[in-house]
Amino acid sequence: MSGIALSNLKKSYGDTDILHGIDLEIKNGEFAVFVGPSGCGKSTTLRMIAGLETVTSGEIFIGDQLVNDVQPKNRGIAMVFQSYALYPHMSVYDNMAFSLKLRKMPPGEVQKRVRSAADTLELTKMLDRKPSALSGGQRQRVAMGRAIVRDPEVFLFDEPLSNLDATLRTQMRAEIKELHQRLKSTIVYVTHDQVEAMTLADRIVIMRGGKIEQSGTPEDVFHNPASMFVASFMGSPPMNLAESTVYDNGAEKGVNINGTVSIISSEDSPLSSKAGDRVVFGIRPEDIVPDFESDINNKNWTASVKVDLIELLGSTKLFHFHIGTNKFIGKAGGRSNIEPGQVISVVMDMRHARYFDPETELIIR
Amino acid sequence: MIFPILQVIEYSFYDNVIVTSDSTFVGFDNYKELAFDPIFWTSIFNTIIFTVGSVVGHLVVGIFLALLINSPIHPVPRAIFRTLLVLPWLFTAVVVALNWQLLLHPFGIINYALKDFGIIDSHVDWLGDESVAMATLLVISIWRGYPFLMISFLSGLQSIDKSMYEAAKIDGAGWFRIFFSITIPQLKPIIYGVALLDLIWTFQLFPLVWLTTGGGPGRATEVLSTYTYRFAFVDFEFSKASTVAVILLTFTAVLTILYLRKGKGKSEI
Ligand SMILES: Nc1ncnc2c1ncn2[C@@H]1O[C@H](COP(=O)(O)OP(=O)(O)O)[C@@H](O)[C@H]1O
Ligand SMILES: [Mg+2]
Repeated sequence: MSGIALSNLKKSYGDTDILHGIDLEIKNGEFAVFVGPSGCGKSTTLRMIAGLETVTSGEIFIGDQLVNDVQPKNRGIAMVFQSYALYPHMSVYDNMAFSLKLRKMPPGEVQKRVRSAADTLELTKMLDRKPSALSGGQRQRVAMGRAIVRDPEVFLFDEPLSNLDATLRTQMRAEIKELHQRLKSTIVYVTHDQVEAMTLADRIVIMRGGKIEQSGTPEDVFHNPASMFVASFMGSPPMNLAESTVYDNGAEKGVNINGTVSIISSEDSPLSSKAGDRVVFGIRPEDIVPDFESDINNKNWTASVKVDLIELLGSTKLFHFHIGTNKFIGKAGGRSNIEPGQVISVVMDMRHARYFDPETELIIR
Repeated sequence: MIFPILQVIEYSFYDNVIVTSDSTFVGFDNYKELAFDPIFWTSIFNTIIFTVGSVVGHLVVGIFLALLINSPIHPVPRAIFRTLLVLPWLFTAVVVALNWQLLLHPFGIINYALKDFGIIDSHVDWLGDESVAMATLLVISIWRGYPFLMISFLSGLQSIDKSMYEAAKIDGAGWFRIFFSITIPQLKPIIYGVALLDLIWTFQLFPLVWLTTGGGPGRATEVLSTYTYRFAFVDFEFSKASTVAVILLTFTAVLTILYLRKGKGKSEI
């Protein structure tokens, strides 16, 4: 078992810089998820850990070993590809046994490992089939089986679920989580799906434009986003962000949104900016609720708004409204009686409000 | 299309066709005679050597060069190499034959080069010496025919999922293992297809052989197609020529049926 450390890791293709210096430490046994928009360098980073891409500069450690120049097969890793990359001319059994045979493992041991992996993944009945005779979900399992039999120090996953339909994806997500809890190996997992990231990760690494934007526990990146980018990337729907001006009349300090609604800030989430400063005010949809559903009695946090649109998600209802030109989304109970066009009083739980610098887009502490 | 073929088959059962007007039906006499003709058997043997040698050579050279062009090199030299390597395919047989005759002439450049490098002691008459003529002809035939297979393999290689190679690399396979466990199985349908097609073409190949060695020296490179031609237009034995042609046709037809059935089987999967 071993952790992974990346130190000032850079990658360029020709003159194009793709990764601009990645520093990251993934602890032994940790489930780390790289998440970010398409093209931000997640796969490149993962493939460099795997040894499939050369390192332009910087260092990669797996365990205590500097692996920059180590062959992929000697890095103690196994990888599950987005396309699964199964060997189409080999049976499921041979797909899983391939690496073990190459390692000259005794046939009895090969068989034992493949059977046990097939057992866990419910593939026992399919061992003689070719991949072409399997469903998408089963192929996915074979790809995982091929990784599991090797008993690697580190598992690398590159968007392994993105080719599955929604139901299967949810199911496999749970299985991967279970697998991790059982094997306790280090996992690096790449996805562009923030829900997948939130549910799987011990640690989320949010990437953007070849840099790490923030890395932390799912709770941390969700509740304490380091930047507007993280705030708007994590969460569905994402955090509401609105340009606002800070005011301070001596007795109270708060934000004024669009010159129309003023809300006083909370002691629990102090606003450090000076009066007159422009800040981006951020608040999660779940922290905006209709007054009649709220147990918060602070009238300084209420605003009267007109509902534009309702989206019923089942157990909750999203209601859209705007303050000036700023759009907001709030969350009400699934049984709330709110209609589009209705004017309601909403409470913003300012204890969970966040403020960002409009220039740097970083959080103001 | 059908009529000339039927005509040839008919001729093979007659005696002295075309040359005399009162030819007689002789049944299988022509075939019997041929069965005891040692030169016929030599030409069958030569045809098999020539065909199998050419096809195997095309396969090996074709795969090797396809792998080379497919390797991750700069796109510009890659395009140049690809164009250069396809060239042998574009010349007509006459040009190919004349060129090689010049190059291989006892006082040609190849003899001088080989002697300078100390590979041979004295100049060799590559096309005129019975002991080397077939080997030389094979070299020419392989040179002339590999591009089609190379291009087929290249497009086959390019359609193989790259991540499969990466998975194999992580699984611990070296290039040798990857070649035999991934590349070859992936190319298998293409290999079968083009090998069979090539077999059909090469089996009845005439111009290249006739123009370079003419079946000689002696009978060293006599193949069924040149033997047919010699019977017809050198000896004016049109009945014998038809008989050899029918035998050639039968072999080719069998190979073609194999090829077509293979193609059909593939589309059913
Ligand atoms: N072989 C390559 N040559 C040039 N650019 C590449 C290559 N591979 C990836 N890139 C570029 O690197 C960037 C990051 O790619 P990638 O790591 O695959 O992104 P992600 O996995 O986050 O979607 C992209 O802009 C992509 O176009
Ligand atoms: Mg990717």
